[in-house]
Amino acid sequence: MKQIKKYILMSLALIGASCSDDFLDREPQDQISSGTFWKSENDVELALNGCYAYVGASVYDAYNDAYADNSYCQYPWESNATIISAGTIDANMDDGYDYAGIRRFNYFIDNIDKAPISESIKKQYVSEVRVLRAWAYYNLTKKFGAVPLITNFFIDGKDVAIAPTPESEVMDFVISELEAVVDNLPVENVYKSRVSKAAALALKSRIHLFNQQWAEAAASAQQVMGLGYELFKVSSLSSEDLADDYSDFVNFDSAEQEQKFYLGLASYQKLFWEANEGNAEVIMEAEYIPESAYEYSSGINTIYLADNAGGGWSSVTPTQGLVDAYWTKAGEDFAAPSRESRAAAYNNGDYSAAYLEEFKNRDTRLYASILFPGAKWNDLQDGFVFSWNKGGSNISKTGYNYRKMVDPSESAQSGQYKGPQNFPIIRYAEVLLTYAEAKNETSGPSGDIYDAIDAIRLRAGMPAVDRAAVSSKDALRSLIRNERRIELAGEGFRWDDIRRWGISQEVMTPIYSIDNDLAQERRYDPKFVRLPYPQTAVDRNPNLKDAQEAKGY
Amino acid sequence: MGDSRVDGVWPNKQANPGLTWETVQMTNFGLDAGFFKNALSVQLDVFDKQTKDILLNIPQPLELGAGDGIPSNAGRLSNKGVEFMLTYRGEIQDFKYTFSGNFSKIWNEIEDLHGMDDQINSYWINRVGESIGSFYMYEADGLFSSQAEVDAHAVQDAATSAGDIRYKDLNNDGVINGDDRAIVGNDVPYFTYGLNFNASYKGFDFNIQGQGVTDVLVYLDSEASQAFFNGAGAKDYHLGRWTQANPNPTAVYPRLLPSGENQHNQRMSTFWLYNASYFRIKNLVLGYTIPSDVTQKFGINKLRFYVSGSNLFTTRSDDRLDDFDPEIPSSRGSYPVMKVYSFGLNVNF
Repeated sequence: MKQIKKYILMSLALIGASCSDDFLDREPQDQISSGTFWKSENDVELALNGCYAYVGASVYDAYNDAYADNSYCQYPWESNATIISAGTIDANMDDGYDYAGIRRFNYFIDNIDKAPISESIKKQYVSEVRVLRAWAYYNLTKKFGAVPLITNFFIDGKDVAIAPTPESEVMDFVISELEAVVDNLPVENVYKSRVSKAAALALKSRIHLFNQQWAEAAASAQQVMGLGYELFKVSSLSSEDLADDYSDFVNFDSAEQEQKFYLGLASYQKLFWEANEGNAEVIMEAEYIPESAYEYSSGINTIYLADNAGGGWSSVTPTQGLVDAYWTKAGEDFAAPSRESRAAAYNNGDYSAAYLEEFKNRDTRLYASILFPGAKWNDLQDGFVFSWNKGGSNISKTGYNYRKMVDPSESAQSGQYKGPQNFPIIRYAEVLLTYAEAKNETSGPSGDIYDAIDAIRLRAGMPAVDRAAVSSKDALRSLIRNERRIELAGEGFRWDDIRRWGISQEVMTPIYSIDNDLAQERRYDPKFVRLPYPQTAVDRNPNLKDAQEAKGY
Repeated sequence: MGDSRVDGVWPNKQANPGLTWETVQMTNFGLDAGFFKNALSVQLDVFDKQTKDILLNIPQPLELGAGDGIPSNAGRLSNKGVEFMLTYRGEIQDFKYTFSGNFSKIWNEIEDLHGMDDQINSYWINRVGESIGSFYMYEADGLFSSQAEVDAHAVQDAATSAGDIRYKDLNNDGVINGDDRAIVGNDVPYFTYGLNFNASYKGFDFNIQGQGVTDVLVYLDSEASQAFFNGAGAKDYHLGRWTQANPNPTAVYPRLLPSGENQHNQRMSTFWLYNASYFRIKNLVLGYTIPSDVTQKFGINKLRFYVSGSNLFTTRSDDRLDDFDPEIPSSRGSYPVMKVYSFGLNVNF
């Protein structure tokens, strides 16, 4: 009993000693809280890293071509591409109505002044983050139209559940932000995964292009063209570059032409390989490393390849339409065979020589980008010839797989989710194409436009444009559009392109496989030019309701 | 960066520094009564529980970018209920038995949400005047049997065709959208009951326990309800699906479509709500104790053999739920509790 009394006294004493008012108000010891942050330069670096996790582009853009007529994504759980291309779009879908990055950017911009760092570093970092924020708003508004424009860090939901700002005003904000900070950005940043002056200007030209502000788009592109970037080229051929014998596919007129073909092929495909990360063509890239977990590898090899070709999933596969778009080797339109005659020649995989005719004497980039039945690829595997195991698991539904951007090197073939190579977010070829398109729209054909297109073609071992044959503004426009489709295939540009060109209605039609089976029913409604806000967003911010209805959803 | 991983820091979860305890005010009337020398006992409990400052995860606008929900003291909740238990103990010579049964019924109502009404979270809604756990979704109205029916109905989806789920156009505006959702049921078992029977005869002992709930729904999606979802299998009842040959508007499953083309049938709707009422024999034990005068010769005070089983029988209101555990919450499905048979021996020295 005495013992017990002693304990009771002790506990009472403890209670008395410990109950001060703020006892429970502690900063957590295992997490960083805003009260103890922003105390050093290191804190700023960490917060900047946190912002860069939300760069406005990444390898997932590879799925965007499957929103359009270049690709098909067969797995609805991997992306919304399946629903969007099928044309069953409604508010049950959330295609990235996400402000998580914007919250980080606003937090950074609003708080960096607390940190003890030099004004010049502060200026640069804030400028980088303002570019990221502008990019995020560009992505939101080009997809959803009007969106709430939130430019400060808020903690109360009521402050952000506001009425959406019209698309044109959001675009104006985005452009003004880029203009305000571009001169504070380094010409070269520490890594090409960070925003540089060229990246901001290239992004600006991309946005002007989307908005059909042709003169501005051409001017911004031209500014980038003065910053020392150039198309990636290999200057000599290795045994690896000559591993596949293309004399079955291409009738070379001369040894010189053959040499050009192989150089072009190697240049175009190796541009994306791990060994050439950060090359002179790359203006900005998303960085990836060999797999340790799904989040660190780009997975592009896995997304693009097939079960029987490099152990991929065939997640995003090329359509017949894209395959048909590649030029002939003379750089002219290709006349594709009919679906019926192709299916007959393919003969369920037991194909005759006649089947391969359509892959003969085509654009070098077709061979560098597409795996078609009969395509060779010794770098992936000795003696490899692609075949389509129709109906198999992780096999394409169209009959084709991408090989573009895939790195066949041994180092890139390990793990479950393969693809250590960086993904180009902005590369110089895009800038040239933007310049050509915008300049042609502004003032019609001129020598500098042909020069830009020729640079892209020659790099790929293709002949220059026949300037006499393609001399009108309209002819040049359609050439540039197809050149853009080919050059940037699979990189995530096509959906924006068909929307801004207003051609979705004509290109979003059902797609068929090599053997003329329906691969995907596709429907199009003009309202799909902008996507609905997810229902959850409207439920929680009723101010979106009118804009949702105005979009037709 | 530069081929190595780097750490980063960002504002993550929203804190709520003003968070405090819920306060509960409980009014309770209890009645305990015994009859026939306490052979029959009755317990009745009527309560009215008022909870202020209930802790709810308040859904936040997506524009906040802060993930889903901030815990807040967000309203007032009323739980009124009745609990009733009846026990009867009896014996007929060496046969002794106890029978008891109980049920509990709760009326739950959200009385106040501090001005933030209609908090929709996935398929649930918190709305003043309704219960916690209310489902909020489209009302399915069978299946379309012909294209003519599709054309005559409110616009659902470009892919909608015969054999697809028909959603009710609740506001009659000719379009099926978020405005056509309604509260369609609840997934909290507000009525639960149990039965228990104990008996012993000489060395034998027997116990059986059962439990059940009624008036509760469960929402199952993905693998749990969709045939061939992501390479999963199909159930027997899927054979009764809508087909050209069986254009039955009340078929148990819509037409089969590849996952990529089936999004319009996977909308949150009452079609995927299942009646989760069930009664289950939770435990059953039969034991035999060898008389102690026999076992003591071997230096053993008590020797008992028994067989027992858990989750042996379950009856469900929804035939389609045959292979689902009615105790799981709304989800894609998970591992059910196992049927367990055990044989045992208790030895006391």
